[in-house]
Amino acid sequence: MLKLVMRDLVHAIGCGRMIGCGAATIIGLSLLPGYVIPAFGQSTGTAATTAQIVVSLPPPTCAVTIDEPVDFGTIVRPTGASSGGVEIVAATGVIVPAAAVASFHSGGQVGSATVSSIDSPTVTISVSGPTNSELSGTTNTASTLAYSLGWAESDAEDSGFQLVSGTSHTENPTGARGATVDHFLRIGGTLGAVSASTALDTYVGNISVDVSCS
Amino acid sequence: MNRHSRIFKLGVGVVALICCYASTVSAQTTNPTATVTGSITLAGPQSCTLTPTTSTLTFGNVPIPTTGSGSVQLNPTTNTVTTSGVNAAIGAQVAQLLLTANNVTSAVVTLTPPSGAELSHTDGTSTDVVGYVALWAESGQLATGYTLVAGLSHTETITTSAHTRHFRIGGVASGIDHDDVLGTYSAEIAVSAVCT
Repeated sequence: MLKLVMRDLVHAIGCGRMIGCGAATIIGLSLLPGYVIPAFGQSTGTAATTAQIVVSLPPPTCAVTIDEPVDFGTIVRPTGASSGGVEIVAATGVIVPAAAVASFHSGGQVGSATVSSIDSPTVTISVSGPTNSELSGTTNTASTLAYSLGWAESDAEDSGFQLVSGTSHTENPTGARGATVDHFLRIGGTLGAVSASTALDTYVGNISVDVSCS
Repeated sequence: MNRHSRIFKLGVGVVALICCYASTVSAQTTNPTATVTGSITLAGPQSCTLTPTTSTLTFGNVPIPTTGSGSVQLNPTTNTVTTSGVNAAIGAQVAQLLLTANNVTSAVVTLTPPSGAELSHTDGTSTDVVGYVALWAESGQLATGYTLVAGLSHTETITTSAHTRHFRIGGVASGIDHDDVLGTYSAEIAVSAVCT
């Protein structure tokens, strides 16, 4: 009796005498999600909706930390007609006073900063300043010393610094997802000539280091 | 001989019956009557349809957590999002369905969640999945005042010939891990209605 029923159903769905094919098809239909076989006197409706979620990286983050300020040290003001400035070579950190003031110069250090980013394919670093490219006296702000910015960047903290031309540099960190990637900056430059007429003072200026991530 | 004999006997019998019947009819004096009303109500054909008005339930764009795991809950009664362990679910929105039933007295609406209760990565190769638990709600003819549906089946008695009911599907997406493969995860949810 069972075989007879199966054969009829199989025949109805067009599988002919292939009992196995028909049986498999019938079972498959009953397992379709949402598929309803209506009984007599019933009507049915079905609909399908898609649930979805897009998993993405969090927005990139980045920050900059000034590790050390730029310091040109102390210069004893020359006498007479001699004058000279001081250069701090950003790529090497070497301090090079002009010959005229070399004997009267002491101290100083290259400035340094660390740029940190997370999940940021592109990091743009901008270094600029000071205003009017000069340092101003802290006692008498009208007194100024010319200053020409120079800076360098590297993936390593203590080596591989390359001088940057201009005020902007773009980096493409390749760290693992969620990992903090550091990039290192050294900031130096050239301090203008100090002469017998230069006011005795401490001269300062602000250098801005800006970082943006995308 | 036998044949002729049977015919004769049958003929006698018929005559006797007619005599008796004629005798009974002549004895009646009244004709009682009764009225039976026949009626039929014509109704339109039965129908039962489910129409997605917002066909995709989306948990939106979810930035993975920097550590650990997170989840997103999309409340179908309010269409609001709650996150845990993740910072945002940008663009999350419930799916919406409309049940239209005509000339039926009851409807049973059944929701079939995705197989394995999970959403799979659409790249077809990643083995990462996002867990999914369905939450759904129904309202009256107006798409307001949704009430959470308990379980996966909703039965209602219908008293009007033209009946509509709104449904929302939300749920909880969980297991959004900091090391998940990025991209879209999805699965199909089936909804069926049987109207009687």
